[in-house]
Amino acid sequence: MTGALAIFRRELGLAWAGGSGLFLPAAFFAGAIFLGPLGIGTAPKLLSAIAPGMIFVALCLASLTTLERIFQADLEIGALDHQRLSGVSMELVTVFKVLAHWLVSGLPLALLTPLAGLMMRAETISFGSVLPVMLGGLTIFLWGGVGASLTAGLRRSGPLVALLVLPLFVPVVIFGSEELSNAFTGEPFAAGLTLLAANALAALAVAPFAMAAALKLD
Amino acid sequence: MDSNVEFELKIEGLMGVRGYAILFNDLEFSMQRSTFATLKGPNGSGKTTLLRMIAGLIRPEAGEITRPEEEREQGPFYLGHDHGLRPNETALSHLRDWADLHHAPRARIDDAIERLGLGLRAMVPAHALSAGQKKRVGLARALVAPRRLWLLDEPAAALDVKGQALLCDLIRDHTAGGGMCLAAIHDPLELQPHKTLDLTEFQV
Repeated sequence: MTGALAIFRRELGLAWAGGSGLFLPAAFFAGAIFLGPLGIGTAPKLLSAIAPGMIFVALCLASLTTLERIFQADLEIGALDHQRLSGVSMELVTVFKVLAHWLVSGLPLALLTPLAGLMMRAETISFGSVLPVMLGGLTIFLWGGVGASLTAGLRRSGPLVALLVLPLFVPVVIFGSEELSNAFTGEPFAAGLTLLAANALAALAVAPFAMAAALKLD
Repeated sequence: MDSNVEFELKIEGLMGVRGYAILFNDLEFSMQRSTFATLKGPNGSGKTTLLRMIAGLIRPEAGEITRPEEEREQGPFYLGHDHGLRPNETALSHLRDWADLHHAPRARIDDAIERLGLGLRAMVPAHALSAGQKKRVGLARALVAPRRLWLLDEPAAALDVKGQALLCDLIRDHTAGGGMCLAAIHDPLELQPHKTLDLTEFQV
């Protein structure tokens, strides 16, 4: 466990030190949301109706800009070999790598959601809107990690990761946009949030084993 | 000394495959403590494959590898061609993470940096280090988190004359302390190996 925490700290430290495209997903996300009203027009009713769906689509796509790097960077330089030989279980290693990645690149997207709601003329701007995007983003990163582990040895694997894991994002987008629309209209959360959390937990239970197995295939 | 020699590393009937080609077959080799062995063979003969198999990174197609008892949970020390450093990582922070990952005390880091002659270069991001300096950082890992078995893949590559002498010193000290070292090399080191494994003998 302490070994896996060391990997977690290393990932966070290296992300802060730059070089891993820390702000890339956030900039992509903001850009996509910004372009929406320009293309669709500024009719408040229309914008606020499509806001939750657009935000979740932007979340999926923004995450895909960074997911392929989760394991690739360490595989290329041989650091993944070291982690495999360290005696720490690869399940723990992979899940901590994904969590660190999510904390650095995924959480900022969730924190941008109230701002995105403002852009999209949402009725209520509240911090509650962060929650569905946070849970959804975590699920997306975990499943995305599975795709990244399967394609880590390939060059320019980004589009392949997208194809592999997009089907797994379906429940996230369905329940997430429903709950986000509740948050934006000032209504309380419904069962969708529970399902979103259950989805994240299911991913947390399954994805580490899939990632570890995929990385050992090599 | 024990009359019945105990082999700490034992390889029996090992087969190595790359793609559809069989690199070596029925490979037999054993090492006891305090042994330095070299691994020889032309390019593409499977030296790296064999070292990675012994490390446990590749599952053998056939045969069995018995590693030192204390290294069945944690792997042996493996120094490959890749230096394992992220471009924006300094040697110092890398070795700190290395110590934490392997439950080794961080106190050894300063000595390791000094022994490898890294000095202030340990504070510089890896992208500003030369290939030889990165190799030295790689060797410093072995001092930070000691392992009984060292598997070195072309350790002398990119090292200057002083660095090669240092490498020989490190291996000598390691084997003197009961350690084992198996190194794939092309040009012989100044240090005489106790044993040599020639992969051409096991070619199919």
